[in-house]
Amino acid sequence: MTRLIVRRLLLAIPLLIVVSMLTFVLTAVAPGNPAAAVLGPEASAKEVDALSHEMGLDEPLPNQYMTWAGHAVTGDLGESLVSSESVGEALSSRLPVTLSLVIGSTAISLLFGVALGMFSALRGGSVGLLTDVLAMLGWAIPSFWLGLMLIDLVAVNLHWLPATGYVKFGESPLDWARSLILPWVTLAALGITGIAKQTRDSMREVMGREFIASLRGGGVPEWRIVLLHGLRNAAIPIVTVTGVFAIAMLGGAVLVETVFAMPGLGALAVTSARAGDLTMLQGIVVVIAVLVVIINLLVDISYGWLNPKARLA
Amino acid sequence: MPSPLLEIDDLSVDFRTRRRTVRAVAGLSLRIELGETLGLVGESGSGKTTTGRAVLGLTEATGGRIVFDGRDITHAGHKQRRIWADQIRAVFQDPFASLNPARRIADSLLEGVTGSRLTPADARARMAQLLDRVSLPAATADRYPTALSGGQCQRLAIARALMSSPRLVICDEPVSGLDVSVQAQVLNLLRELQRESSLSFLFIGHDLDVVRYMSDRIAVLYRGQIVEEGPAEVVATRPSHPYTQALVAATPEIGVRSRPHPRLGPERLGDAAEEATAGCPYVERCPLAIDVCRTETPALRPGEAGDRVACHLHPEHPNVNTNIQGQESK
Amino acid sequence: MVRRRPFAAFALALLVLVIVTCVAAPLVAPYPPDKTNLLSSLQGPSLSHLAGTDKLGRDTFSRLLYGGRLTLLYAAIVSGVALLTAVPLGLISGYRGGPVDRAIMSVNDIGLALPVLVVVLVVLSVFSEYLVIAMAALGLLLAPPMLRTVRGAALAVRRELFVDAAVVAGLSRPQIVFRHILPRVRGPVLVQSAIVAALAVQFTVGLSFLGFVANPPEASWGSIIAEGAQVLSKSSWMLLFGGGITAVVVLCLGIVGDALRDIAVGSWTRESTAASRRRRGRRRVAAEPPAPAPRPASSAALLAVRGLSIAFGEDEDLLVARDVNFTIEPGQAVGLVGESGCGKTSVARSIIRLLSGDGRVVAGQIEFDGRDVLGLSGADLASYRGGSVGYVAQMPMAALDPTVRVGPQIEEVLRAHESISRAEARERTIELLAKVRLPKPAEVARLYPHEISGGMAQRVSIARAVAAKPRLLIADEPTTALDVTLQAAILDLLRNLGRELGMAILLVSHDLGVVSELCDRAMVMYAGEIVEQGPVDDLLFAPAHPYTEALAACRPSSTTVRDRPLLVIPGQVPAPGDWPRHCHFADRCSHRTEQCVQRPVPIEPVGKGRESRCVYATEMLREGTREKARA
Repeated sequence: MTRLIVRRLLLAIPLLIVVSMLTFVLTAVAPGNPAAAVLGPEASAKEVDALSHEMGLDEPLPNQYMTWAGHAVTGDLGESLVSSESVGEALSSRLPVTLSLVIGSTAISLLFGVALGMFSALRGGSVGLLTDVLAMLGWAIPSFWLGLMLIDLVAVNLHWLPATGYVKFGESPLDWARSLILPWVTLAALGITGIAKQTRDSMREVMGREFIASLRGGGVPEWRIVLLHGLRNAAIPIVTVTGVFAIAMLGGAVLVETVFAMPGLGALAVTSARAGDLTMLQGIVVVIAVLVVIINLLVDISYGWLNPKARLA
Repeated sequence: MPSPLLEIDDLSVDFRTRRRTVRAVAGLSLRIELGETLGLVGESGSGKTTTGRAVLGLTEATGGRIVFDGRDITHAGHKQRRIWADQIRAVFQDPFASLNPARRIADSLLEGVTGSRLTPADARARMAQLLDRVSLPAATADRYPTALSGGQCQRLAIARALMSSPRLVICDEPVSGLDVSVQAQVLNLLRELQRESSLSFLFIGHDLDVVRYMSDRIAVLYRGQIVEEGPAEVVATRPSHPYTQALVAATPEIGVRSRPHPRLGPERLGDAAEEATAGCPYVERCPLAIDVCRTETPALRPGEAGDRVACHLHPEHPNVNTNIQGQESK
Repeated sequence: MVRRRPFAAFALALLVLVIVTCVAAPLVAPYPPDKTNLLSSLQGPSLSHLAGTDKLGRDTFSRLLYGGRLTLLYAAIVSGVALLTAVPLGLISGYRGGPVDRAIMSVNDIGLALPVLVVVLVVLSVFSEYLVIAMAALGLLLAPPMLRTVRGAALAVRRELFVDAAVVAGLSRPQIVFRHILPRVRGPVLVQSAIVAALAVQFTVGLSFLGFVANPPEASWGSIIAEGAQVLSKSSWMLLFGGGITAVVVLCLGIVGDALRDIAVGSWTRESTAASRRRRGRRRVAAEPPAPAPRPASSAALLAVRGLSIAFGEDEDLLVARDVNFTIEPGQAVGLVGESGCGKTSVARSIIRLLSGDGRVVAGQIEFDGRDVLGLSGADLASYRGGSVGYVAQMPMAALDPTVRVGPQIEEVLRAHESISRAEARERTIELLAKVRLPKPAEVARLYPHEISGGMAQRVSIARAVAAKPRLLIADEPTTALDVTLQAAILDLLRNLGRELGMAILLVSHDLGVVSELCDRAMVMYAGEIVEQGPVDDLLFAPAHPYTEALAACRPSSTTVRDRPLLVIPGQVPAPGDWPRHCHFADRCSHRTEQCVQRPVPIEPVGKGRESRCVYATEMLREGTREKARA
């Protein structure tokens, strides 16, 4: 099992390197001068030159990258080109927001998705049809649009929940939860239906297998068969799909945080992109890549736990 | 003596996975003469299918030589194989899987003469002729494989194999996937074809009785090596090698009940195929194994009944009761 | 397609309508998109403004049309880039394999892990003036999942036997790719294209919502949604229409994609006869004339099956077994012989109430030890299964849960029938494993199913089936998947177990020879009916039904003379639903006469303890004795 983890971590290194090189390569290829973009069209040539030098843009590309990498490894991700605040600090203050959002919606998706999927698999009939329809709708409806509609309905018209904003957990757990409910529902909409569909399909397939019939033939109680044998075997594709959705939610957070005005990494990415704040974007990209690696690692570990054959790999 | 149509010399085929190398075929040598049918018998993991695929070029040989009609075809590339592709054909085990279900039967059949110089009209005439030969109605050509039954599909596969007038046909378990009442149709057809042409066959199977019925000579495979080889009657009814004897004893015989079934050693813990080791491949399960069986691989040596046996105890070891002439029943 | 999939056809039509209307915006839109009219700002839908107006009084409907033009154009660019990347690379990767495949897949894996929106934002910020480049980047980022699917499809086809056959036939590589690989890959490519297109629309709208696509006063669907969000408190119409049209387009693409998947798969799967019958039109198999009154079973019978008929299918009754009658005495070994499709497995499984899916008993009774089996439920049923009747399936590996070790799978059955402690269950399990002659039983118990061989797995299966000491063991083709040398050992084991445990055995097989090794009596089934039953030796050496006779004679044995052709039974077994309304075997029988095709033939006693469903049974027996007397 440890071999599995070590191998996955080793594979993550090329990923991080490629991802972190992205901005540098793109900048080199792009026309125009990033410094000029930051300062705006009114800046003088001297100001642009000064900023260019400060940004290290006059160095050859590999050097620029190595300098950044050298700093990054020690935790120094540079300073924002726009606000001069430390990138590291900005990221660490915003990370909890995004994490609360994504972890929460993943958990909700998994819980409700599996429950709905199991129900649909075991009862079948109209519930199955409903699952299909909901899955299709959840997939088609743009998340941010759903968020806005929810705000309109729940916050503006009904005044049940706050429309926007985020309250830190430390300040008030209750308000923290209240501020996250709508964003969670928005993000989870896609996940619940997708996971439910996969759960239903997997369960159906597994419950049709010979060993399930053989266990019944041995007189083993049905609940044991469904939970300990059925779900266990159906779990792997479900876990895979959950991992895929979790990563998709990392991306979806960009839009949801913007809609709900939450101070998370996603919203920061948007504002940085608009402003041309490459240093900040670089930091965000790397942090998100690390999160993706962690998600994949968790998925792999679950595989190992669920599937004895994989432990030997 | 005329040279054999097919000669396999010390063939070995290895499969490499990430963790280990599995030797599917080890040092296998055999020959097929013109107009002869050689039966290749073995259980799962014996390497019989791999041997057939190596001759067809579908699996790469790791060592040894395969010579067809005097030409070394062992490591021939895709392009080269097309030169003699019309002379070596195959009938596979799963009749449905060997025909593309999305193509009309006529197209699949005509595929059999792609490289030849036949005009389209000649090719279609040959197709009609062969459909008739395998007792399928001419209208079959316009249908799709999914409309046929297993037996019909297999006869179709035989027709396709014959389209190019081959000289050697590799039959890889051609009846194993068919119902019992249908197997006879296909076997009879193959027997007729044997008799009316000088076709050579490599008939691969796991059922000794079926292989004996079809073959002139039989080679018995165990874990990639030939353990016994000789005239079909001898090998199938008076075998000398302990494994062949076990095979014969285990084949259910109608009316024979509770006969002493062969004492076999315990099955190995874990999956069958392992790395090549020295010694006789059968040593783990052989009830007659002695020390030398573990250290030295026995070579095929001529026996008394006109066959060749790879066993250290041969010809001295006692013949376990396997003489089956159907008399001792009930 | 329209007939069978009205939804998809409608979705496709709607999609085309939207696209055409948007592309033709300059011709169709009632107002120019940037015509302001502050007097009519934020109005709801009306006849002059189908979708209302925005803050500046511009007609939302026109803006939706022009916005659609822009949005769909960019979405098309994104999709195009994704397709052009994923399809060729996926095909090459899957078909060539080897190092080329590995290289492409490593790059693809990195692509899969990249967070799409964030990377696009980076590209947007660097190439702020060149939206097309960012869209191309989006296309590249959406390609990896599709590449993986295309590769998978190409890989799967490459491994098909008919590709091997094409290689043997001497086809060149290009010929193989065009004739066999591409047609098969076409389906998944179409499906994935629909999905990629849908994602492209989603992402484009998302980016334009964030303000990156349209430059005001240009409109795009996303920007309309953004504007709608700003005026949410006053009017929700813009929000509704902007998001609504996006959702509709994506939905239609999804529905079309699903339909394409169904069509693609359908063209190359072999439908089961039953399914194809269902398609061609429901045909109810009318009830056949009532079976003769069921014979009373002997009071000592362990198992009594009377008048059993089994059918499959959700709405219709496709009979797979009809009027099956037999008994099994305690300790007796009985065989059930027949070819595939004769109904023997259904009969066997119905005894232990394990009929799969949509199979059900439509007539008859099953009694075990005098108790009705078909009416059992709940705890009674659970205790019957395993405790009264045990079951061993055909495929040894498939019968074991691959995620659980061997030992606990047997312990589970033990503890389901007796309240014993875990430790005791473990001990008893090891005893059972020893009883089925597994070497080192304690070690085997700790292994997973994939760590043992097929023969050992079958022994484990048998151990589990007899764990709760059933009085009848049903072995469904237990040796078919095993090598013949293992077969002998397993049959031996079953024989000994039966004797030791005083257990009756019902052995289901297609091989008369196998049955003759183990069983005293046997039933021969053909096309859903029992055609003959009696002592095994009688069936083999003095058959009273032409099918039994043919079955024994058509396989080569060690005594078959090579130069004589094998006995052939012409034709093939009639499938369920195609049974004639007379003797099921008549169409293939060499002894057929007028009598045989007039009405269904009932099964009648003929000789001591024997029954046959042949009109000429007695004649066959007489002739048989005459031939023997002559020999």
